[in-house]
Amino acid sequence: MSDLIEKYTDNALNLEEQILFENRLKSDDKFRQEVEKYRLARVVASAIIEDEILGHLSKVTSNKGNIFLHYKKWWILLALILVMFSVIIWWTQKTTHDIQQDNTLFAQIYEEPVWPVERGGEDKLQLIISDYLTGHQHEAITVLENEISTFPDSVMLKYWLTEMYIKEKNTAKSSQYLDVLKSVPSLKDRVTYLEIIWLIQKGDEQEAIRKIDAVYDGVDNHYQSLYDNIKNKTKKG
Amino acid sequence: MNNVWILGKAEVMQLKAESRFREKFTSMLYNDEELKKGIRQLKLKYNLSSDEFEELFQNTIVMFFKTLVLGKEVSEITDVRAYVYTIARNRLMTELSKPGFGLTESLDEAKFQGLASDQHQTEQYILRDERRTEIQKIIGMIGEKCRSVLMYWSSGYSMEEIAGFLGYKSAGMAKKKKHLCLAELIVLIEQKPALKISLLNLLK
Repeated sequence: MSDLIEKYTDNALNLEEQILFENRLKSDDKFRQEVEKYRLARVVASAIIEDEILGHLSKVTSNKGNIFLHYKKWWILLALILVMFSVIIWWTQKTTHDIQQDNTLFAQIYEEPVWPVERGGEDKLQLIISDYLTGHQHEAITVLENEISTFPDSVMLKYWLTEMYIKEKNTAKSSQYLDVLKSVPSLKDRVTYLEIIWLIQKGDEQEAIRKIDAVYDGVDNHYQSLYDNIKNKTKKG
Repeated sequence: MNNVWILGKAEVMQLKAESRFREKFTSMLYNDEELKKGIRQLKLKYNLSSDEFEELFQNTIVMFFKTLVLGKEVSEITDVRAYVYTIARNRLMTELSKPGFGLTESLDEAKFQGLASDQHQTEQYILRDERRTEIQKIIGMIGEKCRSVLMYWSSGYSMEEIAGFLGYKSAGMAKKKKHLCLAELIVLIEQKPALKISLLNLLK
């Protein structure tokens, strides 16, 4: 029996064997059941290629999904870059705007001192200030700082250096001599004014207004007018 | 392969014999826009949904390989796209001719063009409906070599041919392997009575 089925499964039956095979199928139930098993196995075996190709297709379609995901990642990255770029642009514009606003405010509220420059003057301080006013701010400030190291008790050197710091908006250094200078009666009003400017430069407008209110009645009309202007131009005013 | 859409004898043999080539070719077919465009004409003409189109497209690719690998008579394909398109059209016609579709006119037209009448035996789907999972489980349980031997055996290839495809030294070795694999497969099927009934119905 098995030889015959084997030949059948190997597609190797000749005509005579085929007839024998078919006759036996009709008459022998056990044989028929046995053959049935082989036929079913053949059906399942014929699905192997389907299974394989469906597997390949599944890979292809999931790769498509992955490609989408891949691109999705790139889209997210691109979106992040765009957000970052927008933030940078916003920040730059804001900073520029703030600086412009600061510069505008400073120009509106700051009044320069009467710089002590005389034609043909030989005084070293005058030469330094002259240098400062002719575009050599950094050099002039450095020289003046060195002079103060040499003459630490010189109030005038400290005062003019403070004027330069304020004009240059060097908020870190502007305040270092303010207390010393306020104790000099002839400089008191100007130094108080410089302190107020310094407070506004470093963003402490509330303190600047408080300071103005505290000194307002004790200063002359010129400074009252300057303070009025400051209060008008600043937000707190 | 200079022109991938022309399959000579060597390429057909390669596709018959090696799964990795079939995998590569599956991807190529699935991603070919021109082929997809052609089959999409059928979608438009017969008003198929996107899901139906996708099913048709994938089934067509399965059928292409089934015909190519199991069809002993296929030795060359001069235009793969046209060949696949014809399979798609035949498949669609078969589906539409089933009761309930009522597209006799379209079917007649297709028949007139000689495209719907030559259903090859390999165009019968085994892996469908409730059988699919069970059969796939069984196939997954037999080894890779066994799968290959049984795949060719089911199509009527001789043991010499199978030995040639799979690199066995002789037809006798291929036959021995087939014997063992077949016995294993029969045991696995016997363990699934419901599947047996379903498959017997398929044979009727």
